[in-house]
Amino acid sequence: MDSHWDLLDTALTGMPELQVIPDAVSQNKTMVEIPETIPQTVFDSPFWEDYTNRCIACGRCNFVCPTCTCFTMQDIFYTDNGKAGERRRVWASCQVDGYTDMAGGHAFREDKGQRMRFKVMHKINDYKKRFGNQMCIGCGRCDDVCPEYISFSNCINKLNTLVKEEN
Amino acid sequence: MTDINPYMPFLSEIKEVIKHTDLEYTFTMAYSGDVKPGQFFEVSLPKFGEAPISVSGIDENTVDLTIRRVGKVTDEIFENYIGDTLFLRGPYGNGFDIENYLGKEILLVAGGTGLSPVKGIVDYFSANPTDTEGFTLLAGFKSPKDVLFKSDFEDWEKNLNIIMTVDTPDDGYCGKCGMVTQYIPDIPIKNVGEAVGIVVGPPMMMKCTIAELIKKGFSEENLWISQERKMCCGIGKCGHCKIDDTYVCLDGPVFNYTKGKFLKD
Repeated sequence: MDSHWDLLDTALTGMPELQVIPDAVSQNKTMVEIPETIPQTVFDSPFWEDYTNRCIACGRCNFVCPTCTCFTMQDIFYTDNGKAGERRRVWASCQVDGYTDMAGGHAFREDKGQRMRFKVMHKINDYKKRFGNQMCIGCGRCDDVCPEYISFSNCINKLNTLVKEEN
Repeated sequence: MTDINPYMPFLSEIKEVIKHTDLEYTFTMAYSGDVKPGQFFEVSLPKFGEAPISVSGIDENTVDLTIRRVGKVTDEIFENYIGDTLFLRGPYGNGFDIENYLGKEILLVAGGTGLSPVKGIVDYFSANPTDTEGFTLLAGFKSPKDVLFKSDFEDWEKNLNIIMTVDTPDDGYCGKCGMVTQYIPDIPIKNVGEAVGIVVGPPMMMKCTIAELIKKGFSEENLWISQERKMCCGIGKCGHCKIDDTYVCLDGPVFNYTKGKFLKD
C-alpha cells in the first residue's frame, strides 16, 4: 500500500506544534453511590420483590450491556449441507429463563427479582472482588432499553441506602 | 490446535458401556492423563452440542463417564456404542483430593447420580482400606430400579461399611428404605470431631444431610460438598455456573463447607 507520510512531513515542516487535549465525557447527570461491601443479608430482602413484579425476563438489559459476556456453546448445522456447520458461542442472559437449567430440569433463581439481584451483584460487587475492577461503566443503556422502565442506576442508589440501613 | 483453542475437543473411543438403568449408562472412554474424582469433561457430538459429565472412574488409560439420558446431547450419546467415538475436552474443575481424607474416618453420603463424582473416592478406599480409619458409604436412590453401580457395590461391601437405601421400594425389594438422613444418627463414628463428611447429591438432599452431619458433631471444616451447576465452557468464561465471585467450574465443583456454605445462587 502507498503511504505518503513523507509528503505530509514535508508539508508540515516549520509549522508550530500545538498542544491538543482530547475532550471526553467523564460524567453525566446520573450519579450513583456504590456500596463498598454488600452483606449477604440483603439477598433475601423484600427490596428485590419490586423487580420480581416488574421484570419480564426479556434479557434486553444484558444484550445492550457492553460488559455482559455470558454465552452458551451451541452447535449450528446448515440445512443445505448437513455435514458442514460450526460450534459457536451464542450470547446468553442471566435474566432469561433457562440460564441455570441443568440436566434433569433443576434450575436456580427462578424468581426474577433474584435474577436482578444476581446481575446487580455481579456488576457492582462480585466482578470487582475477583478481578479488581468495577464492571459497570455507567453507560445507561440498560436503563434506556428496559420495556418495564427498570432503572439500574436507581437500583444501585436504593441498594446503597438499604446497605446503610443494614449497617 | 488444542494448544491455541481451549474449546477444541479431542476424539475419544468408547471402550466399554455398562447399562445401570434404562436412563443411566457408564461409558468407559479412552483417556490417559491426570484426572481426579469430582472433575468433569465436556462431552460433545457435532450437531448436538456439549454437556458437562463428571468422572465416575479412573484407570490408567481410560475414564468412566456415567451419563443420564435427559437431553438433546445425552440422547444422542446413548445412540453410540463400543468402538464409536465421542468428543471430549477437559478434565475441568478442582476435584476431590484424596490426601485430605487419608488416615481419617470418612462418611460419604451420596444421592442418586451424585454417587458418580465420588465413586473414585470409594474405589480408592475400597482398594486401600488401610488408608482410612473407617469408611462408610451411605447411598440413596429413588427406587430399586434406579440403583447405579450394582456390581461395584458388591466389591465395596468386602472392605467398607455400605448402607444403601431407596426412597420408594417396589415389590420384592428387601433392602433399606427412606431418606439418607434418617440413617446418619445411627452410623458409628469413633471420633466425630476429626471425621470427614463428603456429601454429593441434589441440592435439597445436600442441605438436609449437612444439617444432620453438623447435628451429629461433624465440624464444618471437615465437610466437603460437590456442587452441580450448568457449565457450558468449563473454563470460567461463560458465566452460567457463577455464584457470587465464585466460578464453580474453576474454583469447584468441590468445596469445603466453610466456603460452600456462603455460596448463594
